[in-house]
Amino acid sequence: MAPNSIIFAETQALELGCDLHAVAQMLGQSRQFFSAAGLVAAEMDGWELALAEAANNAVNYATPEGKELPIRLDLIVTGQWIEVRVTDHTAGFDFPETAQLPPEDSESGRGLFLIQSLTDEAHYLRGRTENCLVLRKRRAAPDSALTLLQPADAARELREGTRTLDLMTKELASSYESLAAIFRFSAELQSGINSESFLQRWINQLLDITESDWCVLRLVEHQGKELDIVAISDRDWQDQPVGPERGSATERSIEARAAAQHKDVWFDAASPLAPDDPLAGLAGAGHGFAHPLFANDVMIGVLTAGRRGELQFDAGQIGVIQTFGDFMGLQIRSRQMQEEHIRVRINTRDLEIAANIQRALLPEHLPSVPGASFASFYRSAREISGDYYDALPSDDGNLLLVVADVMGKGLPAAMFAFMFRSLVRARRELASRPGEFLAWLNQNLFEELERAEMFITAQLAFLDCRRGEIRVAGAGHPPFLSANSAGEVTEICSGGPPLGIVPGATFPEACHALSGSRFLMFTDGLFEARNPNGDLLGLEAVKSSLASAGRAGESSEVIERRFASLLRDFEQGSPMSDDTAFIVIAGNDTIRHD
Amino acid sequence: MRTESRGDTLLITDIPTLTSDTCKAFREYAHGALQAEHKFVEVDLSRARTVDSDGIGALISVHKAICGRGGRVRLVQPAPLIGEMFKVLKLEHLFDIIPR
Repeated sequence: MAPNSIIFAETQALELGCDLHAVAQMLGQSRQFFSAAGLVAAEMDGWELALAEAANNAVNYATPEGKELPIRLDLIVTGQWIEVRVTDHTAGFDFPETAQLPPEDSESGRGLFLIQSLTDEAHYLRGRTENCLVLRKRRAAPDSALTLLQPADAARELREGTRTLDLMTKELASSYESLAAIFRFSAELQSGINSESFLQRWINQLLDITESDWCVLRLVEHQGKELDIVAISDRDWQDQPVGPERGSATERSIEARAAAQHKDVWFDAASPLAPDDPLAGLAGAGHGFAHPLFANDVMIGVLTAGRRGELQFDAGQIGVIQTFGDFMGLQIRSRQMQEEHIRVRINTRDLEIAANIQRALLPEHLPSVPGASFASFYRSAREISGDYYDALPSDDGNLLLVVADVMGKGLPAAMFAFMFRSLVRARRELASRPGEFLAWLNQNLFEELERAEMFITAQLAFLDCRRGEIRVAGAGHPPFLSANSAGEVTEICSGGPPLGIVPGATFPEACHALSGSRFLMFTDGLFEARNPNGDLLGLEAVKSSLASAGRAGESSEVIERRFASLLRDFEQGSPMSDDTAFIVIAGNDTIRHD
Repeated sequence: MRTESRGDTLLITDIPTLTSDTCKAFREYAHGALQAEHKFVEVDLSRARTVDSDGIGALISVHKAICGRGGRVRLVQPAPLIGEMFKVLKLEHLFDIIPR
């Protein structure tokens, strides 16, 4: 468009009675107007058909009150465009984005399809008492006469165009304001400003643009059980939450009804708010409507706007409130999803850090002591495991081996594993008396474990290299297994209750000669491994494998690989159901016997 | 509007428009004139300036009345836009359209 150019338009307003015969008469008048405005015959034929369909609908679906009111047509022809507005008094309907054809033998239901086929744009603005169908189509042959106006005709054209321009200016102004506000608020929302103040300013802006007397925005909170106010035009007004589900709340609350019915709900003098509607005090005796907000079919909230006087919202203002609300619903949902995404990322990062720390706390290498060799295995079903093992050598050449399993997984389990490890390391002088050590650990962890409703199973094995024996105590832990060179497997100790269950519990010890045997300390993840059919590996399979290792006199490293293979072959790629840790002890004949 | 019977064909002529306000009369007229021997209905649309979706519904009702006996509705010389409309609505195979 050239700078400072003005678009002039040919316009005509027609009113017709709500009657099909009046439609036929109107079609003739429209054709005369279009002809005078310079449309070619094919354009006129198309518009005649589109107008017929639009006006027929306005007549056929008028409400009983609407039948007494005229149907209004505004015809606007510019050099580039033709626009037609049909204002009806029907109950309105949801105008489809793309109308579908009915079955071919159907004798009705093709009107909207034809309208959309005959025009470039079709919008339906729904109002309380009237609706407006706006149809636009680019002209087949732009008419330069309408853009290059002769001076003598200017006054007449301006007079005729004034009304149209007024209409267009009003609509453009509200559209511009709402669009500008939408873009501005959208940018603010992305920049992470305080949500509450943002929504409050948004409500105030909407109030100005639509000349509403009040607005209320409620969002779904508490897992969808309540609609809570997040912004309101009158901040002093006291409110109570509204339940969005069907039930008694929907009988008294227009907002709850809009949420439950998934559609706009109106109120006015003829159908006022219930006396106990939460909005009754705010709305007074005026009128307005509640508009539910959705994003991808997810209920976000309800926007309600109203006026206290008699002047009704026009279709454009209603459209702005609905569009503004729908847009904000999407923005709010997008913001919620972004926050959730960030929260998940932070949690994931926290878990990764905690998992790294936990892995760092596991011994990098098991120490070597005379008379035995060791190997260990550890894997976690999640980033952070509740399983833990440790090996604490003493100055006199002995060694305490520890295997524990904190009930549960994730961060809480890992935290108790850290605590357990710290306590074990803090009192390593108790290592030679594993039963007493477990009693002390139980005493010192009991309060925290009970409060957290958690428990720990643990097994302590003290290798007394001077005596050539191993002393074991367990707290609710799987048995300590021993296999000799004959392949005989013994459950050495299953011990007392888990830590954190019985205050003051005692833990018996068992003793076994170290020389020539193979031992296995493990958490329940080993024998509770599952194959793709969901079958458990079972303790007997573990015992059987250990028996083979004992008979073969396998080294600790070979036995570790044996059980790792056993797990892998049995699970066949099934997802791990639990963490797994085990220590293999292979006694040899070099142990000193004092 | 006029009707004329020619053997197995019913001719309907002088149709100024076939729209919401006139389609009821067309239906009554056409169905009233249809006889058992009529397999074909020829609708002369050469004078019809407008046929809207209700008018099309009326033509479909005539089609349904005779298709059971193997008949066809023939639309004679509709205006270009009207002929195009039957294509847009995917109804061209339902009728025999004889262009201008």
